[in-house]
Amino acid sequence: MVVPPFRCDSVFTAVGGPFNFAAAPGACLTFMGPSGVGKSLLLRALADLDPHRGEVFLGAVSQSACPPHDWRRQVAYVPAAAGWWAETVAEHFGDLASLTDDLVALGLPPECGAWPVARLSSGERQRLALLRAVALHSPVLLLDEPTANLDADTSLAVENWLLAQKRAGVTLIWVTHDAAQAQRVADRRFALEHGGVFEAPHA
Amino acid sequence: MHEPSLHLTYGDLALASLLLLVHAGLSIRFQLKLARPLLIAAVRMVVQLSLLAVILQWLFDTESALATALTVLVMLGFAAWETWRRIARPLAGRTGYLVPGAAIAVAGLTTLGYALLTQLSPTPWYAPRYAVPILGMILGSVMNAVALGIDNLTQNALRERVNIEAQLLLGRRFEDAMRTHLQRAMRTALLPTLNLMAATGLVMMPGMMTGQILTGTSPHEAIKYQMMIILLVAGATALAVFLAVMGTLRYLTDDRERLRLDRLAGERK
Repeated sequence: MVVPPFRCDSVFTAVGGPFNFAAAPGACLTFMGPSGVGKSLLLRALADLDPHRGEVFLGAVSQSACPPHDWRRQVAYVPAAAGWWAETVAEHFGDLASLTDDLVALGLPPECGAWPVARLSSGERQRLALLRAVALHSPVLLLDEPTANLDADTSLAVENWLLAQKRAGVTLIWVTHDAAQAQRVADRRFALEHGGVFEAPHA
Repeated sequence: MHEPSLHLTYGDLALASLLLLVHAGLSIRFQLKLARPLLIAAVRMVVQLSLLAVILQWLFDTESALATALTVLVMLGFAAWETWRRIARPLAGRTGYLVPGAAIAVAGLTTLGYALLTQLSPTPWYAPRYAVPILGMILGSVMNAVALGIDNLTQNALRERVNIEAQLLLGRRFEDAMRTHLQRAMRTALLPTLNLMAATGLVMMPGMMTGQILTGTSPHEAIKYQMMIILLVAGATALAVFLAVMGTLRYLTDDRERLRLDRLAGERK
């Protein structure tokens, strides 16, 4: 996959800014910061879900010049608690049967497509929401605490699966509360504050 | 004009209110706390309708175009305000009042004009004896339906926010993400109208036709009028609901196809 660089240029959300950073193709950037500092709001602005100032670029394409549904396919945001609108799991996917390898990698049985969404655990929901977004083949993934509801083993499995996406060229913008996880996955680590993002020195 | 076959006196009205007084007695005995609100509502109704009688009589006697137009405007204004009041989370600011107001005005005036110019054709065409009561019946139903429709749409958008945004995040258009909520809002709004048409004549005798029959009109004539009114009211209601719900939906998003719940007014106190 040929991925254009991703750049956030002087973005202001409702609670902070200016946020400036750029991600090389296939890089993983982690963002840490205390609750309420506006990590999710920044991801929402990057996905253009909230009105915001500033501009976001994917290669030469600017967010404001890109049709909104196109942009959200290119810059896929997976919220910490994703939404479900149909009854069964498979209805939320184009073709779940073609994703069997990913299901297995995520520790989910291939027959889970028939499961009713209402009976999923929070961990199952989280992994399926990640898979749903990855299935879009977006060049950029915005991840809001992607392993928050998972036990340690499953958490590592999901991490490795996400890093496999990165190796395939996907850029990862990864919000986490787990410093050890940031150490493991990040090419560059940032601290998010009200006044902007600040890069941590290399460990 | 038919002469009323029975003449109603004010004493008869007093007798009709006796049942409510009996209930007031029961309410006091069993501490139901319903006596006061029931009596206040009944007195309000009597005062409002007495005033209406005076105004209508004056309107019909003068038959002035200006007075009729003003009456129509006041009715539309009140209808818009009353509709806005019944929506738990309307759009914030003036839009919350103007969107249902415009939908009600367009649907009400179109239907009224259509009825006056093609089916009733009184002279003059704006004769208040026809225009005002017909608009009143149209607005009664339209207000209810528009309030139900907008209320349902905004409440569902608030409750289903995460699920609507999940669809936007997967690259679906706002219109597609909202489709089931749009359908639900329109269906909820039109359900009373549908039910009314289904039940009319079987269980329920519409008030207008009953009134005409009581004052001596033949059932054939009265029912013909009633059918026309029901068809006009249903048509106006469907049109108003469509305009009001689509208008509200338009304000729930922006040029970036976001879900703009920040444009809704806060909870009513």
